[in-house]
Amino acid sequence: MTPLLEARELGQVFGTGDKRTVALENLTLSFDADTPSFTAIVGESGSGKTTLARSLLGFLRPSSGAVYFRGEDLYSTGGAGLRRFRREVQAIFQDPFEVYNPFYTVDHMLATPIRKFGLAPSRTQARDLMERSLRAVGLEPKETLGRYPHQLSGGQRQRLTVARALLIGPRLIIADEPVSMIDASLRATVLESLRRLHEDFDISFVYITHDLTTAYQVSDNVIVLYRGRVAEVGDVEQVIKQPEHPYTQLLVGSIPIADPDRPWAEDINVPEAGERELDREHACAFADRCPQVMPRCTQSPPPLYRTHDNRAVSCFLYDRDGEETVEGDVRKIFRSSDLRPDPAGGDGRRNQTDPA
Amino acid sequence: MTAPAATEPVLQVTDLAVEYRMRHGTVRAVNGVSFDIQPGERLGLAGESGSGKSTAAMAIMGLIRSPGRVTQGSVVLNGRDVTRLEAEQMRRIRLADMAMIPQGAMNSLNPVRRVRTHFADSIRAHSARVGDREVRRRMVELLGMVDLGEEVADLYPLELSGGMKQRVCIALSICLQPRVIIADEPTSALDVVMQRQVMQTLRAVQETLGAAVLLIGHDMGLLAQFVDRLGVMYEGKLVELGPVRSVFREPLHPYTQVLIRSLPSLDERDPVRAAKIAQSTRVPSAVNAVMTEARPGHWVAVEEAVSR
Repeated sequence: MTPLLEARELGQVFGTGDKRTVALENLTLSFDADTPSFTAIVGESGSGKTTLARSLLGFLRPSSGAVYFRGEDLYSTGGAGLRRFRREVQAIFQDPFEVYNPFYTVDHMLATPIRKFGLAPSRTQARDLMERSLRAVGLEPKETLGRYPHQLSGGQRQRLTVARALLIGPRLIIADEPVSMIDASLRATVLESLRRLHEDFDISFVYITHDLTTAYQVSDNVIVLYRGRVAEVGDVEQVIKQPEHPYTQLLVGSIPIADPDRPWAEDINVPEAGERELDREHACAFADRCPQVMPRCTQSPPPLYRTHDNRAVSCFLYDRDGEETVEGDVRKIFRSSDLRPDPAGGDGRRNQTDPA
Repeated sequence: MTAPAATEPVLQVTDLAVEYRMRHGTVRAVNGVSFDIQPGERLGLAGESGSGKSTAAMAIMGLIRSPGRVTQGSVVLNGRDVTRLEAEQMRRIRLADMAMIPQGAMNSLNPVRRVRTHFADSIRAHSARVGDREVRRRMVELLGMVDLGEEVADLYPLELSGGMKQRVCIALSICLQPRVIIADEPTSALDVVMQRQVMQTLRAVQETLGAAVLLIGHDMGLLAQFVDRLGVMYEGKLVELGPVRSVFREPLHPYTQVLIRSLPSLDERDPVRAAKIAQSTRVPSAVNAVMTEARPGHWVAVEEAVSR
């Protein structure tokens, strides 16, 4: 079975010589066309999460490794293959203001892909398609169509970009920080619309974020990146509730919980991530900040150790006898068991009708 | 609406309004806001972009610039109404009695000046005759309070990481031992681990000094972790104000209810529930609402007609 989208030993290096920065290192992962998944990619600034998104979207040619769309190298494919890729893999970006042309009503943004991809043979059908996509993300067509971007709230605007992605009929949507510029009281509605599309239309999602709490809310699997490497990967419930990598533990423990009776634990004093490029061949990316650092952490980088059926951690603390390593290959984790908590989605809510 | 307090408040804001006069009419960014802060207290002001929380902070600091203008109300600091002061008198108060930690520390330091120059300028703007040795002594002490070493003094801002810059800003803000520190989203550009550490530092510094803090922000988690009392702003109005536990446990205003109950939690995965709350709650306009004390110390804005 050829995956829909696959990154194999993907690496991205910016600059050369002293200015050389490794943004992403040896990452292998894939998204199946037939088993929809909802994967969060979590990391701080500089972790490589946006670089990964851009690589997967065909915007950034890999320095090493490759990205395959339905088995073909995305960066050497063209014509029909690329057209299919643009239909089947859609992007949602962070800023719901920048993606609009302020001089056009929002209809323009929906009508353009319909025309370009020939999604509707008539005006009536085009209108119908637009209205169905809007309703699918919880927008009322009457209150949306014919308006200018500035007449809509940030939450409405972002749901509109989701509707646009949806009407093209994608198999995979890559959303890079889709709610970080939206006011808190509206975030929930955008996230819920992503989740609903996943369940109703079997669309896979890659949700890229720095926010572990929203990642926990919407996704089923999580990949925690740190300085271009996978720190931990697995079922979101387990990773957030019982983080294993010292970095994930620190990250989860630092989330300010919105409850005055659950304060942060005792004060911490962790050095900031080094400004210096780390010695990638000889060290764990987290060694300079890790409270549990061991001598071997600065001798070689740790592989990903499988700690459970559906989890792996890149840390020598989990180097137990006979522990299997999965190198940088996240596929082995996500394939090892069905990570969807409700595999069939099977509660009748699922609606196979693709809006396109 | 000031409850009788055991001590005199260090800062008392009464019926404050800020208007921006534009070509197409006047915008009331802050619309009759009142609250006070006790010495050593940590008060939070929550609200979304455009709610008026940052404008209120700027007004308290006397930093509203044309076309904006404070049109009514008073800001009483240590018993003195600072809205009536001349520019020069206000300048003397800033930093010395009331200091601000700005949003986005990366942009508030002068990129062509070393850290030590920032300290020298700040200290000498208020007492010109302080000698080099004394400036140095104070600076090292201040840097120590925010967990930075002496070597930072000779660096330029671009040589500092985001967390270090924010610590330098905290150290600068307390260099004259103000009684009130206003922190406007002091950690919004930082990663969660650094955010936690910077807030830790701010709390330690505040407790050492016994200063009051007004923390402005939209991150409800951060506010829950840090403040004693919480105010919520909406449409330029303060719509709720109370002890932080009381506000989080039983939010009274519909807007606060949406804000708190639709927050994603780490306990239960249910994006649908949060969205339903956000979509089903109607938040009434706050423009004509007045504050009423619903529970001891916990105030909420209600429509005037309903309140009696």
